Amino acid sequence: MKVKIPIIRRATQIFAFFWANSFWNVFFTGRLYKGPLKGTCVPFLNCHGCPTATFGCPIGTIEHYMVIRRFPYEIVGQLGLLSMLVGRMACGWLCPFGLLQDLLFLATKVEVKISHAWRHVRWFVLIGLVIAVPWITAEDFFSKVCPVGILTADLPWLLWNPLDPNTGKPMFASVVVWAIAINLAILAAILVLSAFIKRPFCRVLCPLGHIFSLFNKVSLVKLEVAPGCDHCDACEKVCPMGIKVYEDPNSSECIRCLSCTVCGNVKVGSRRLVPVEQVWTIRKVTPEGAPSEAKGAGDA
Amino acid sequence: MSKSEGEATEVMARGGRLGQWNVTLRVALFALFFGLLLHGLLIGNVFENYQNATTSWMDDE
Repeated sequence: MKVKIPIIRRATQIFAFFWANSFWNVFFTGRLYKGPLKGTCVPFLNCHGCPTATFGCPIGTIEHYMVIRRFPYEIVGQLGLLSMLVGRMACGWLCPFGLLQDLLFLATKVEVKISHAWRHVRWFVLIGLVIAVPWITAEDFFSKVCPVGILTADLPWLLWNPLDPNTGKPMFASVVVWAIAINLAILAAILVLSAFIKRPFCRVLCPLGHIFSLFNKVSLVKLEVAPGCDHCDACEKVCPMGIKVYEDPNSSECIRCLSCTVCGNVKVGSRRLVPVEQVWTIRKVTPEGAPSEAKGAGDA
Repeated sequence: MSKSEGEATEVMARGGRLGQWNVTLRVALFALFFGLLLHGLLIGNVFENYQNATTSWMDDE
């Protein structure tokens, strides 16, 4: 029996949510998990301020290091290695916020298309809000307005508002109203947009997706389009990012969800880290210029 | 060597150079990120991340 990719993908997205939020003890103690796992990160946005969070958020961690003005060696290495292996696949297969946007879009029948040029805004978010502003002001600015943080940390804490174990009083006796209002407006705007635009947060704002996307063209997992593709745009219809895969199979927007492989012309390929026989063939043939022996030399 | 053979050779050579460059880049990036990860783990800065993560910034107190 062949299991369909979208079903497996939904299962992994749900699993990822529970994997990253498995500290149920918080409901008995009212205390966040602060063990060693919090020092590592999941490869998707999941606020470490969420009551049940077991791991750190990669963007929150990067911001933290910018605030203390140190280089985040471990997290950059971790994200870089993952990106080199699978590109932006974590966005498509693991991110719970991506799942939420997918489901909201599927719930409506109306699609509003936006230009792919909006992806450049992610540079501003990553360089400006995640790196530069925290470095200069010593404030983790993006974390304060991150919609994932609002949804998974701020809202649950505020709605629950447990007694503080140290003082015995409610944890949020007095809150900054304007901060909550701004946060809720940001979250509401993104969720409403998600109902009509395919993954607006991932396409326009997500700094983590932007880091991953930088490696789509060199990652070991890649997509290939057969020469027989007739540009029917079936791939664009099923793509959660609205990409015409035949235009650029390894586009920086592709989240490697593999939905487009329902079309027989799109295949998942792989690059080898060091294709030994290819290097050998190039070395042997190029100086002598014999085209018949240079097979496979063009593939990277 | 005919003209078409010469063109084919040139295309193959260009592809070969591109392929070699990509392989070099890929290996270098893997080595770089592995080194960063290892260094981060060895100096132990990983465990100081957000040990006290809360949403307290919204708290007025």
